[in-house]
Amino acid sequence: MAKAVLEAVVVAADGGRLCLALMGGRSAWRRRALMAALLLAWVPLEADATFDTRLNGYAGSDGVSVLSPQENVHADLDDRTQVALRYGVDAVSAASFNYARSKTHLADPRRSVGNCKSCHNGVDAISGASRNYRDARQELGVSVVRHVGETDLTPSYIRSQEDDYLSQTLGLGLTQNLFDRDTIVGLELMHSDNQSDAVWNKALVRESTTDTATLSLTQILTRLNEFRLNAELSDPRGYMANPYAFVQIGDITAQPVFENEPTFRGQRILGAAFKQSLGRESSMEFDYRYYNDTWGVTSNTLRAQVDKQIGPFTLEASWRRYAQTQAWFFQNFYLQGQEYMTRDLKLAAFNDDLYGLALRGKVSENVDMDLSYAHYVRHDKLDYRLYYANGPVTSDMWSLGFTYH
Amino acid sequence: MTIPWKASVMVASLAILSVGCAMVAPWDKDELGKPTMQFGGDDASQPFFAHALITNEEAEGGEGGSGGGCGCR
Repeated sequence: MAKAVLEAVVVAADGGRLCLALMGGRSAWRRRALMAALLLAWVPLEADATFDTRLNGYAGSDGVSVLSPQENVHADLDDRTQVALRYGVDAVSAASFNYARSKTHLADPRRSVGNCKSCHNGVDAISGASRNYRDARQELGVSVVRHVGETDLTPSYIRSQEDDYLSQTLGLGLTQNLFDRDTIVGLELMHSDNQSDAVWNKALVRESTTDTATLSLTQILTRLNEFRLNAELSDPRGYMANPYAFVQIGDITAQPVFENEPTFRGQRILGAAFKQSLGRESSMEFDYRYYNDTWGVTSNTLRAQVDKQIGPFTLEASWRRYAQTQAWFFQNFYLQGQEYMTRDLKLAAFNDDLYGLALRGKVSENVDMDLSYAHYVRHDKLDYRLYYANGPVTSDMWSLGFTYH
Repeated sequence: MTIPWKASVMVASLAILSVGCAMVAPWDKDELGKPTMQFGGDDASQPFFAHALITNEEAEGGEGGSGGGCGCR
């Protein structure tokens, strides 16, 4: 076990150095190393523990790239109690949006004869959100599973922090095994507090909260198949707009104004999944999710997956199709101002496809490996003359992980 | 808000009716216990992929749940 932990530390350090090269800042690396060391030191060496270290990556056609090392520790404290710790960093680089280079800004005739202060009164400069843009999101998660007979109780805590954003989530899960474990009923309650403070006005802290309740039912049907159902209610309330997002009103050259979104959003989600064994170490799965909210967004998600075991490895291929309607207040371009306005591409009508491949299995007696890749393609009919991007985004994401037992 | 109540009630009714009807003996659950029978692939990369997707999509959630496979964990 000690040797496995030592190997894991070396791999984690390599991931951290790679992240450091992207982000710069030795003190940030020290904080991360200290956090990882604390996580490791916390796990009693005599405990039955697994350590998972992985490096995730994302690269989008809109110029956003993310490198995300992540460490997970699972330990059995006794035969009834398990604890899991997770620590990860999303190192975001490149531009999400650079206002100074935006098409609307470049089209403004006043720009060619003045400077920033000619139009933006009362400010020293408008830097653009993305000049040499780098940001990091750190996430720490802790959960404990306590088995009491056929009941599992799972309290959890997640803290996610950026320079201008803090989110803390408390959760409590309850699962009950029924009918000789052919049936599992689950209930999960979560409460999330979020704070955002835009970089140009750190004193203005905007808050939002979300309460979520999820009910799930997993049922074995025969010795070859099973299904799962989910129902979820969520009610985000508070400030939900993007403090860096603008809309144009009336004229493409008009001075942009901040977007504004309603401060309540009722969300209803229904999900269903069916898994069928195909024999010969293979299986197929179908998933469906229905989503609807009070902003007028309705979405349907279909997913199909095939798994095939080949020797010590499992090969997985999947396809996912997502389609949504637009929020009632979304517009590409506003002819006149209204109370709620956004041109956020997430709130437009669109559909997308995700194609995935994964390979996972044992590489030695104590080490499992998994390698996942997914290609994302968005389809829509929006007018991209008003956007920084030139068309619907495509992206590639991947994950390479090692689990030490 | 438009919710397909009829479809939801039908699915929920079928689910409730199916609960406890099919008793699979523990010694018949070896196929269900294989890694290929875990919902969502039992994949530790899923949280990152899910996080990447919600930066592009409005809908999230509704995909969790406990158990699956042999029902032994």
